[in-house]
Amino acid sequence: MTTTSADPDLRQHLLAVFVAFHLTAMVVVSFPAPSRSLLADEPSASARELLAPWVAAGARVGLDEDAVRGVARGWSEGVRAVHGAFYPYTHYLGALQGWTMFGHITAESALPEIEMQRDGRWEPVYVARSTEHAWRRSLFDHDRVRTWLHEAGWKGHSKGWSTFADWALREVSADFDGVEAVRVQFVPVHIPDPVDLRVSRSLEVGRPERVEVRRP
Amino acid sequence: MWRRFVELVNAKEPVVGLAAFRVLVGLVLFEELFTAWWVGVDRALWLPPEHGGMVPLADPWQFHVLGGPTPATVALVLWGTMVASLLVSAGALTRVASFVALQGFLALMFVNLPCGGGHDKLITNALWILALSPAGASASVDCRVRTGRWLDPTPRAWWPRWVLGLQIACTYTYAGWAKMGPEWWPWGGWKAVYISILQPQWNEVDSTWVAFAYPLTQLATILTMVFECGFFLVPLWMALRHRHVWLRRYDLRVPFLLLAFVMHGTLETFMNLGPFARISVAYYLLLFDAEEYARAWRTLRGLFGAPHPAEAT
Repeated sequence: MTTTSADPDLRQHLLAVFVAFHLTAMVVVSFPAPSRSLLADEPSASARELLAPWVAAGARVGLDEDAVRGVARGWSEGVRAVHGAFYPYTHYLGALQGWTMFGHITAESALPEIEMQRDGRWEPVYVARSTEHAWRRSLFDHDRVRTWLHEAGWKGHSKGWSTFADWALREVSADFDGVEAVRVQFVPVHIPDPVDLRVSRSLEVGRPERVEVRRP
Repeated sequence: MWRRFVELVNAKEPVVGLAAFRVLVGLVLFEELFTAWWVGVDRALWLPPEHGGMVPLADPWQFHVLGGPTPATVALVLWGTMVASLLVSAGALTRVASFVALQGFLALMFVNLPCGGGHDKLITNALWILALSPAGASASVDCRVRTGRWLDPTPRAWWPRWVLGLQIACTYTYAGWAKMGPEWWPWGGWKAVYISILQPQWNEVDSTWVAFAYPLTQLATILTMVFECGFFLVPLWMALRHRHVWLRRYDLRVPFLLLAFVMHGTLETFMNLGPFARISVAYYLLLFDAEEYARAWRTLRGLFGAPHPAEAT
């Protein structure tokens, strides 16, 4: 690396200003903010699990749960306000930040399934990770489709699950004859503790949820 | 202090790591989009229901200008971005190609945000800085056209390499500090890697055997936390090693990069996380300067018995 000892000119100062701005945006916009679902008035079981150690730590210094949640809410709102100041730069020029990856991994998940009804009988068309019922498996195995199904379909962060059912009816009807109805659903999966898994050798599967049925 | 910062920003070095990074970023983006097109993700996730897609979409400005996501506009953006990504790798019209690839990829990201991940942000950050950088000054078509040679050792702007190096440090460090779930900590039994490997959302194969290797997964959880929370030490070491001789005795990059390869290798083997490992590893190329690449090259040539060009003449 070589540096120059001559007095920097205006262009060099401007470049330094830009780099300083970019670095500030990078560091500041990366500050993690607790998600809104975590700070909801009635948090989910997963959110309560995540908050529990912080509530316990708060109790040790004389803060009750409401006070701890108040601190978290204040932090969250403050961080979001700062993020907003950099939004045009990060959003339009790709300097996107936010690195809460694998921040809280729960033992609960779900696998999508698609079934079709023919001659009055339901039969599986696609069962996640199955080699037997593997309709459009290469599509469903793609990381973007997996992510969408889990984040938007299972967690229900978008209204897309309903239109997904419409899509499934259209596509299954195009690929199979005599389709009378199509059903899409999630099968909840619980990951047992290691001691239990060593005995059972399988994940615990629940009853289907978020069931949507479509008829032509 | 400002004067010193201005000098640092305007420092120069031959473009080596940045050029290699440019090649990989283009290839990673091309692979991600090509595989998406190959299996039909473009029709399923980037087209609205009225055009055969799965879900309602957003309307980012790039698609808004083109008249919304339709089969024709999605194909235009998708293939335009793929061509631009190959141009980035080849180093042809590098700055323009990087900016076109960036805006095309942002359009595809924002049209259906819930189907992306952290790797997308690593790609867009890379493309934005590449668009401003001299990454196409060497090992590129631009270099060949300009100088008649494929390589050009002329020192160029140094700041893009260290800004991008700080980006990966920022990514890992914040990812570590944001791990608030109890499964990452002693009070949650260090269970995070165990659960991750078994998560059906991400896993590739039946991994129930991992219950018999539970202590190993606990160790992996601890190492992941040490690696991510402590990664900011790498750029700090790189900055301070020139001032303190004793720091040069221990190359802090070695343990961190060894851990990185084990961590990303494990993720790649057991889980489907898209291009996350590949784009992260590409950033590591930025942690080495031109002199270190030259030394490594001389060592490699020495290992295979080839004479140094100066000795050969």
